[in-house]
Amino acid sequence: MVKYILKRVFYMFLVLFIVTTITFFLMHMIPGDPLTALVQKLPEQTKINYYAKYGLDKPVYEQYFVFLKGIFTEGTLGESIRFPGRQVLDTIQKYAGYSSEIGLVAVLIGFIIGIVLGTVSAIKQNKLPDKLISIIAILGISLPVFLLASLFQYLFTVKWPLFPTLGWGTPAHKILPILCMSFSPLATYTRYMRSSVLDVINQDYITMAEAKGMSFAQVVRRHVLRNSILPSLTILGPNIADVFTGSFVIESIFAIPGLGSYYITAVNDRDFPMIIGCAMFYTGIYILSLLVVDILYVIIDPRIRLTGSNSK
Amino acid sequence: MKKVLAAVLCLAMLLIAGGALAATQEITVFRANEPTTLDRVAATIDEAGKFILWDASEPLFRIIDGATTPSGAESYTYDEDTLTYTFTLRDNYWEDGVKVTAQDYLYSFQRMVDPSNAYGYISDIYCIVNAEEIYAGTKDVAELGVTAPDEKTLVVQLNAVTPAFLEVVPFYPQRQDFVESKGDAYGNDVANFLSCGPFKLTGWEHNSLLTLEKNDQYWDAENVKLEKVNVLISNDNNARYSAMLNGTLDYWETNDPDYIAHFEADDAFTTVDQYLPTLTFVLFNGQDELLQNTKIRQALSLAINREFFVEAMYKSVYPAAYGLTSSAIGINGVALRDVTPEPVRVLAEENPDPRALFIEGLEELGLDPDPSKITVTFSISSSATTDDTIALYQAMWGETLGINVVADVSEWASFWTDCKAGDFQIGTLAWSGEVDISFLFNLFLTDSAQMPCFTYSDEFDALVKKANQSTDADERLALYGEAEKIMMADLAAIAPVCYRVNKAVLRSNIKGWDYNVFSTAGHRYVYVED
Repeated sequence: MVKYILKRVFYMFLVLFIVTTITFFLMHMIPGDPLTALVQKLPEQTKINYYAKYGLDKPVYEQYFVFLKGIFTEGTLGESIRFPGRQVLDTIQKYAGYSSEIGLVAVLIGFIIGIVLGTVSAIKQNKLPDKLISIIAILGISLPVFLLASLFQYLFTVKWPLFPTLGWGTPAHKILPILCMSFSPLATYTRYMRSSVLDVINQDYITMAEAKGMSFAQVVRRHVLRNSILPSLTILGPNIADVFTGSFVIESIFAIPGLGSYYITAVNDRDFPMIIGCAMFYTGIYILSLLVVDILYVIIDPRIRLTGSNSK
Repeated sequence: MKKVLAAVLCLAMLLIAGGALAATQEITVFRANEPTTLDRVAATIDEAGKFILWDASEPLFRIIDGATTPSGAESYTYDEDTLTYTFTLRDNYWEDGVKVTAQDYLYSFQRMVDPSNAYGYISDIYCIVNAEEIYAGTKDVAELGVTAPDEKTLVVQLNAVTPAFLEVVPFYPQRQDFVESKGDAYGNDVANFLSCGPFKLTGWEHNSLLTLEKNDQYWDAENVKLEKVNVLISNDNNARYSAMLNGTLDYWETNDPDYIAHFEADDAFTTVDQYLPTLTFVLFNGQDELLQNTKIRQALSLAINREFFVEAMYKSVYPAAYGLTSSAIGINGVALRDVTPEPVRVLAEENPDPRALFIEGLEELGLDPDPSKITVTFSISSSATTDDTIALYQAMWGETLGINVVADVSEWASFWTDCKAGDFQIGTLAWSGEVDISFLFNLFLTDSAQMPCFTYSDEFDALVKKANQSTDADERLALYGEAEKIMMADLAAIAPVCYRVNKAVLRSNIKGWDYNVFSTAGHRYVYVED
């Protein structure tokens, strides 16, 4: 197991390096630079001074080596061009935290409720609970999050002013955004769970468990849940990674100081250091969550072996 | 009689006194995006950053109710022979109690021209002696035409007559010891910024909220009534609408007729038209075989039914345009529109039948005088409203002139590249003016070539250049008015279509608001009534 994890961590750094390199050259290939994003009547001299200031006048491969040198010798990802004086690393550290306070909680709530609803829905297949849950699931999948957010904002801050509309700071500020963001994962997990529970419930070993006199609740807990949760677990990894990019819409609607807006504006503004920093962070989280999910697999389903850990 | 007198006196007192001041002097406004920095001379300083600086810093001059008003400066003298401004400063203090000196203003000028700062709006101060050369690296900072002979006096020497100098140049103080101690981080957070304005920056939750509180060290603090200004970062219309309704937000700008109707019907809000300096217009390629004829261009311009266009496109929120400058643009609070009629209106009265004018143009060119045999290409950059716009022009020109219109749609960068190269026939676009009225006129000068209309005129150039150099406001307006008439009516180099207007929505108990779109007053004179 330890050997396997070490190997995966090594691969992680390799992938990170490759993704970073590709991103670096890709972002320099798209037309435009941080200067074209500024809408001003710029004298030629400004362009010259500006490129010189940020080293953008050097060839791309040279900029790449400067960037690598920064990482390995100083442990820095550089400074934002759009927001002068803001270190990319500091920004990510601080604002990823805010994003996760909303996003991770939302995904976890969505995951837990989705698992329960999906199971109930499958067990009560074609009965009233199943139909009600299906309606929730379809709404959750098809309602765009910005619509939901605007609706909630109107209902719960204007019609019934229970929560603050915009801003950050108190727990009350977090409730509506979390509610909005958990809706879509909730629906997704419900649907995955429903279909995999339906699949499992018709297996022979369930019939056998029931035949040997286990109560229905015990069968569900011990056999059905463990066997049918794997597909949901598979998408949990990417979902967690999406928290840091997919939260942009919610963050901008509720004025939450998260990382999402940095990522999106960085791309629009061609803020090169910020783009590469966010891309590295996102890649890292993505790979890490895949690793965690793989380990969870083994814990939940002992039949699965991690290649590399089965030392013969 | 006594009763009447008493009633009149009571009424007069009410009018003078107005409502009583509310106990809580706090307002919440918004910006659509996070300020990139509060360093006024950074390359990426944006509108949101400037907005905060109006409150947190003290420029020598502010534009208040449309007029350029001394603020950080107490007075100034101008020597016409040597083109030298001498400013006398007020006794103002930084939030830490240190006096604001002329050296602080000088230092920010030196940072502006320092090439390593790559300041973006540098052309605004090219009128200062040696600014351009220092920025290009050919002269030393010490040679800049700005000096501080003592701590209350700042002297600025110009290299040409610049009537809009006081409006255009950003005179913001920056304290050398503080800026140097913060390095690159200057202006990126509360701790890295030093206030000296009517308010001081006390909180900055990035991408969410900035907090400004009254600055007791400010020279005019006794006339600042607001205790706190919150600036929410919000760029979602529905969110802002909800925030206005439940009292979170006190001020909003919108051009959506549905929202406007709601706020206008509600006494809790005051709504005011806010004219923007933006013009949407049709650009004719004066080098084109057909469009080289003035009558053809005039006919095309007159055939645009502007009232119909703004009704169909913008539910008449935007006003139809018959000239170059909207009511927003003028000199010292007098708009060009106040003194000169819009030229295309006059042209329309003189030529009631655009189709006849178009046929005359065809005959002058020696072409077949049947307009239905003419096809023009209409270029437009793609957006959500592209299809509607094309359909409207096809209808307007098709019905009035009887010509055929085909569309050429491309994204902005390619569209503008084609236009610049003269590779188009008719195009449409929008352009924003600036506080200095000359900005929009300079676009159409022969040697500036910023606007590819290819219908240039020596007469127009001469008028604009004379106006740019004139120091007499009335004369300037008159000259720009004549130039506008040549461009828009006599030559019809472009056809104005519509201006832009936002509805400013303010909670009714908030007073002292400056609605001028170029205002740099900040919230200094704003207060809350009961």
